[in-house]
Amino acid sequence: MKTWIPAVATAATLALPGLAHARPVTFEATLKPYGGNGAYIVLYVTDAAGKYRGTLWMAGGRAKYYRHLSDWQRASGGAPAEIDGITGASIGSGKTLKVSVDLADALVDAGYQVHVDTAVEDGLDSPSDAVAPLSTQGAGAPVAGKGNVKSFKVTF
Amino acid sequence: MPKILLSKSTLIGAALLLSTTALGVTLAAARDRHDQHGQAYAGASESADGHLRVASEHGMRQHDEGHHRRHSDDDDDDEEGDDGGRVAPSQPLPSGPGVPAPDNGLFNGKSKPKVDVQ
Repeated sequence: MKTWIPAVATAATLALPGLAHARPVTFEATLKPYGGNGAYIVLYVTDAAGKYRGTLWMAGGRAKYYRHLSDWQRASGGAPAEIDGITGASIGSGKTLKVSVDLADALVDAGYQVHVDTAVEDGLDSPSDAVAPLSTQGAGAPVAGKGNVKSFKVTF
Repeated sequence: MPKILLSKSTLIGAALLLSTTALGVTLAAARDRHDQHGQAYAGASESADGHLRVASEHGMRQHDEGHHRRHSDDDDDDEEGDDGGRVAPSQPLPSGPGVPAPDNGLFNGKSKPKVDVQ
């Protein structure tokens, strides 16, 4: 009885090497000074094939507006379970959203990308407003957004 | 049969009383008829064939209530924001410290992102 517990733990650790290691990563999205109400922003990850893997953070708490984050909505299906526990307030004009997370090592330098969808009430809906690779090469270099995002960068 | 003796003055007084009463009833009836006729005329419009149609207040009230209801519904569409949003979300998603991050393979175990807005 006492011997199988450490054996199972060891097997689990060996079987899941990607999750056993993680590194701190910071995502910073700075909005343009568009004026008006706070913007809804969602950060999510896709793999090398462009397939949705998960959401990092949802800024904006009313589900009825999530359809304006159209790329995320289509990729994730808009399921509430995708953003349970990782939802906060919308972000004001000109502000910077900074999200720091311990990201699984297996996602870094493996072709994964981080997408930023934004939407502003009575303003612009900008799916994949900014996209940056989850890669240590070029880390920290800001990427220009094409809509409401002024710049977006990933720092390790 | 007892003889009822009525003096002349009594007879005259009774006659006056009866005539006054009759006159009052007649005047009251005439006034009522006039009032009803006047009310009907005030809210009416004339149709093409000359007959009067009485306007209905019920339709206007319904319109007003519907109009007011639409304005009330608009109030539900308020936005929230960290720069002074107006209304709290009607369906808040679980995001408190006790709610774990989704098990999507992105986060290390159950550690949740730290978020800052500058």
